[in-house]
Amino acid sequence: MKNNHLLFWHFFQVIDRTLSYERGIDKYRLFLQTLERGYIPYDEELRAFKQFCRILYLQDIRDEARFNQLLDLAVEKEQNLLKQALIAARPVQKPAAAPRDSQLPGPPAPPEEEDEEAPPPAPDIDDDLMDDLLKEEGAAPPEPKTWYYKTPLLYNGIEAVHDEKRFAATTFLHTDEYFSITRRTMVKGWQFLRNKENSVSTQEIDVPATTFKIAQEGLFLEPVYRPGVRNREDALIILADVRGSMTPFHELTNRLIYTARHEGGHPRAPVYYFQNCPLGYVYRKPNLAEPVKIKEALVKANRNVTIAIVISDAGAARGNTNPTRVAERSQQTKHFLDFLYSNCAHVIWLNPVPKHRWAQTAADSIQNEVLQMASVFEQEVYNFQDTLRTIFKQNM
Amino acid sequence: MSDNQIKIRAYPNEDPVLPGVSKWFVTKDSDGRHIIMPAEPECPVCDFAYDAFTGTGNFIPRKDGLGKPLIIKSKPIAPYIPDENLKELVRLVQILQRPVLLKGEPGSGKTQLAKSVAFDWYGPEYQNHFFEWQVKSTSKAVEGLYHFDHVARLRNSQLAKNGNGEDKEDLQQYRSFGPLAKAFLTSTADKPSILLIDEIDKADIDFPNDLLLELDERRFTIPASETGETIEARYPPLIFITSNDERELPEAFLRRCLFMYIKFPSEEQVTRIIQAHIPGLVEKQGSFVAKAIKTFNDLRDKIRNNPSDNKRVSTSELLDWLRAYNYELKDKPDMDLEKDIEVLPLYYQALLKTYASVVQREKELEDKQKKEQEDKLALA
Repeated sequence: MKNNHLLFWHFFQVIDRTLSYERGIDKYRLFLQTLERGYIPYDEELRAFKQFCRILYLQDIRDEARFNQLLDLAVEKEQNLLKQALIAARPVQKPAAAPRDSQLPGPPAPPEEEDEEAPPPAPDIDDDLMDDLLKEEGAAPPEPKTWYYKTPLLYNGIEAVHDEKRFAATTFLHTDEYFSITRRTMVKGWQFLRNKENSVSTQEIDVPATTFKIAQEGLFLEPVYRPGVRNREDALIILADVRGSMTPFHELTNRLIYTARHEGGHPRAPVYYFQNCPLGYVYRKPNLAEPVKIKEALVKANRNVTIAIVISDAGAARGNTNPTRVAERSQQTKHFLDFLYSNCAHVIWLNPVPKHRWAQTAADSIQNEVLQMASVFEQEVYNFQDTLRTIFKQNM
Repeated sequence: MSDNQIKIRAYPNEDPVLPGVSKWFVTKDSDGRHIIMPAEPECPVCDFAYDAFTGTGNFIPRKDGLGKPLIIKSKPIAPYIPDENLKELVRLVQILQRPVLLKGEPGSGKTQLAKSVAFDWYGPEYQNHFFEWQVKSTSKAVEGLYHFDHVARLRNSQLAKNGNGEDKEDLQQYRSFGPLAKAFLTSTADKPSILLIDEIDKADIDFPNDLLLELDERRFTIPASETGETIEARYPPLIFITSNDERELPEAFLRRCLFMYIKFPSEEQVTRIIQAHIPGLVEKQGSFVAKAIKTFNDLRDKIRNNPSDNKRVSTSELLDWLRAYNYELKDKPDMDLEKDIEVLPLYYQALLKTYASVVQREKELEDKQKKEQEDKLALA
């Protein structure tokens, strides 16, 4: 690209960051190649271009509303450059070969018709003009490094308020993906914690075993089949703190549990609830109904395999640093952890409160007791996945 | 993607009279009008043959005793009317040469798209260029590539040992190719093959990951202990993958795919689809069809907002439902259709697929009747 400006690179980064799509540079390369070779028909509203972006980048229909918003914003930002690139690419394609039987739409609209500011027709764009355009549009803005605790959509909403239509389009989120940790990140994290075990035989022949059997028996009677594998059902047990200081995190907790039990690959993981710290009992329902003895709750746990997941702020949300209270709470929690350790292989503590708020609270004092205490809401999005991946490795 | 290789074929090969419809589906009726009908192509029966020297595969027509090519009339192929998005998708798939992941409500025509592209391009010979891989919950990635018949080999080696079989072993006789390999072997720049991997979400979560290299580089190698062959595609086939969203697909797989969600078609498009699938209904009962589409759309909205009912209805349900009406019309030409649609509709079984939705619909009708009676009383 001219002037070292990577066309639409910004958008590529935005979707990677906001929708947590895995970054694949090959897709961006494909994007540029397709654009440069003039395969994307030009139209005034760039409809074909947008459709192309959707087909190339979008991965999930649930993200579509958000994706379209981001795409509209990005297109608006680099509109002139895009139009230039699309028009510039067209004539190169035309004389290159006979139209074949492709259904390329008719000739592009002559660029003069657009408006006065539009660049002259393109094949060789003069570099000064390109510079001006770049400056004018601020097309490559410096990347903000931190962006947590910000409703992602509103960051350029301030000037948009004047334009009523645009305000309406950009201010209201049509999605509930507003946490810094997305659903997909959670799913991926849970999937690392799956554990396989042998199950019924498959139809796959175990050739070495069969040959061995023939050697033993002297003739071939029937093949030996390989055993199949399936996910262990006792890989996880989830214990979630509810109410009190955890109230603001209920949605997060629910989502963590939901993803673990659905796409995360732990459909039968038992889930129990408690408030502050379990004392003898935990509850089956999030409204603290149907009490179960802790002993009974852990009856299915396997000491060699099961990982206990505790979702709780451990006193860090309120930031209560009263030493007696902290000591009391830590004492109770340690007792509970001892019990967990006598029944489970590991304990992972997921803390919705960022790490810098843990100091002098119960969270601080118990973080050494558990295998890993991870903040789910930390600004580094990959924290959660990394944690679970590490444990998975240790388990192997 | 290298530019001089790419050849873009138009889809669909439109009929000059009826734009947007593949020419294979258009026939003339007795009055000489052009109408859309399901196609029943006469397909030549072919055998797949693999040429190990050139590493290609092709189909050889089978001949009957008199040396004439054997021809079988295929099952009717329902017309497929793609909207603008799908046409653009097929164009982009040829340019970008990536597999495309199709999602959409059940019955929205995900599976049909691949077949329709193949039929549109190759007509009666489409079976030689179209490969279908139906994924099951127990499917393994290797099944799409090849199958090696170990049992036969062991049996033959036993016979050879006892002096009853052949001494020299031809390993290739035990190996047969799966749909993916066939698509690779037959695809050429002039005639790209089309591969459909249907319902990929049914299989284990690792299944898509096992296909990454094959989809990326379009080649694979059979282990040396079996035949040691390397199968490579000369030209990338078009790969359509469908998913019903029963489970999340791995990120690495998604990254390699293009994506399209087939939405419920617009009203105009639906009318065209009905026209194509149920010939004559729209012409004779235009206002009824319009009303039926409206009722259907209302029902879709209701189902979407009803938490106890999660069976979404889509295009195929609408077609089933209207087909049932069309059948009824043959016997009772004077049936008052428009009144009928207000009450619990005839053949509601095609639409309401859970107990909850039937109960709800019945209750709604009851309430409505009650209200009407009350209104009458009030008037009297």
